[in-house]
Amino acid sequence: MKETLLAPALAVVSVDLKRALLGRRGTPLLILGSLAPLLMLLVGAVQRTRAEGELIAQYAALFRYFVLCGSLFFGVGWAFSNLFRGEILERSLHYFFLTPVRREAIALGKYITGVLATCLVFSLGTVASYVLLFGQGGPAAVRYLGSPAGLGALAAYVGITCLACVAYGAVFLALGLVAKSPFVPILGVFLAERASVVLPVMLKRFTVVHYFDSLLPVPAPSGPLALLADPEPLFLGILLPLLLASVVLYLATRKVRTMEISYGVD
Amino acid sequence: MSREIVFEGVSKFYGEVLGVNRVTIAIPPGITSLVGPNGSGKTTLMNLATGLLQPSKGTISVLGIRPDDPAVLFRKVGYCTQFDSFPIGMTGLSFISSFLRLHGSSKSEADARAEAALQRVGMREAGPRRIAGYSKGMRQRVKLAQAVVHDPEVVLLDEPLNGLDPMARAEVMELFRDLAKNGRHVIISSHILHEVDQLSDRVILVKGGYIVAEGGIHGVRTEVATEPLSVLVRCDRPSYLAARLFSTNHTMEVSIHEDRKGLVVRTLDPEHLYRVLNHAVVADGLEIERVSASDDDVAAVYRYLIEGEGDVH
Repeated sequence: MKETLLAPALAVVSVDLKRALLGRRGTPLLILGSLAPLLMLLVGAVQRTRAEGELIAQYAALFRYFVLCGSLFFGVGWAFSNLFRGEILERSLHYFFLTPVRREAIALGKYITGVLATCLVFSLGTVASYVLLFGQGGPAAVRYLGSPAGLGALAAYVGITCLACVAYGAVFLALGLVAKSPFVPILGVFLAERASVVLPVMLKRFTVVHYFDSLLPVPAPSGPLALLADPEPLFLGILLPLLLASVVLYLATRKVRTMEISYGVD
Repeated sequence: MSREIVFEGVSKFYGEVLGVNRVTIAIPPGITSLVGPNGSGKTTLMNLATGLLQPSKGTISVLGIRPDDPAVLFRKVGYCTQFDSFPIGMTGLSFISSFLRLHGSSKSEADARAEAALQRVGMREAGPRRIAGYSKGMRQRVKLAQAVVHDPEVVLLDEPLNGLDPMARAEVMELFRDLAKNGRHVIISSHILHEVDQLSDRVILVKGGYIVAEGGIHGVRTEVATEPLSVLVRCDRPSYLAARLFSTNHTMEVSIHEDRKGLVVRTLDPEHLYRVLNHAVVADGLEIERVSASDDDVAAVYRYLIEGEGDVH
């Protein structure tokens, strides 16, 4: 199964990746990916905080609320919902469907394209914003940046970034296939994810960001209205988003298999 | 393995709107033209054959392959669609080469084959330029190149002559003839009836989602039994011949050319006409320069069957 799907899926990636990153569709992704580093540049320039501990908490808050539930969320939403919908709007999807590649492999290839593009953009953004914040701090902050603890935290943030691209990406790919205008359902998902901190524990478990919270190297401040929950075990925090991505991706490939193209012409 | 494209009881509905209904045809190799007005179902038939649409009823096979098996189908099939659209930002060469890589070609092999395909449609020079800067005719030719670059056994071409100037049309039609050699299928949908007539081995007339007639053009024309056939006869004594013809029951109308060197006969029985002509030559020394059926072509069949000037029997 893997042999018959993966090779053609990677061929789709070779056609699609450059367009996803550098084409017209890649521009919003690059802009959203550069927001966090730009913000850190600005914060570093104006704030007087130099203490390592404060910067650690500051970055945790920024990553949780500005990146995970902000720029990354909408960047991934844009990139993945347009993987098929963008081709339909350009009336170019049929070129993929008229090649000797199974529809499932096309869907998988486009998904991998989205994962590679968003992981690249947002991982670089995460690294850049982390380095910029601590690099502009005092000597202790700079030392932390190069220490095992600092590098470990950075690796965790990059890992969560990639996991978020994988999990949200599958959901948004599916939304791009079933919704005429995917931005409304994406906004719905955003509100649910945003509300995660104030939801009861049982309901939190239905939001993806709850599992990312469990993976954060430093807990992010959650505000006075938050209902606190114990973090999920590490394996669940990684496994459940991956499981969600797999199930949704499977359903999306089923949808692509029976997809029709007419663009309203006869 | 089947050598035909087979539709068996195929219907396609878009909600409550009829696309095609109860289509049963078997298309052998050669050049086949789908002829019919806009919205008649020509594109629907092509999209069904290539899996871009799925039938509401019935089954389709292309050389024995089901359209829902693209991994096998598109090794043998190329489809130049009617959609005048391309992935944004690509050059003609990168467009063809990129999608050829999905056939498993290496980059260098794909580039070489893409260049050869562009050469075949007279677009090699323009290949490195962006498609956005192409004229409609150039875009049409790039699509053609993309449809044939992998040397398919079946080529489907939806309105392939659209946007082409007369010189390009002649070149492209020559390409179609070339493609149809060696037992390949070339399926063309077109409104340019005159050119379809010159090209086609077979014609399929589509109207309102139904197949109205199919077969060799002359055979289809013969099926239009109630319509008189117009035959042009160039000869030295047209008045004499007209008088001979009016003495039979089968001649509906005769008009003599202004140059008095020919006449057009409308007859319900062409066989009888030809017998009269033979007799006039042998018995009366009539000198005939040329005999041709002036409406034994796709345009006439289209007029009778599609535009409702006649009935099919």
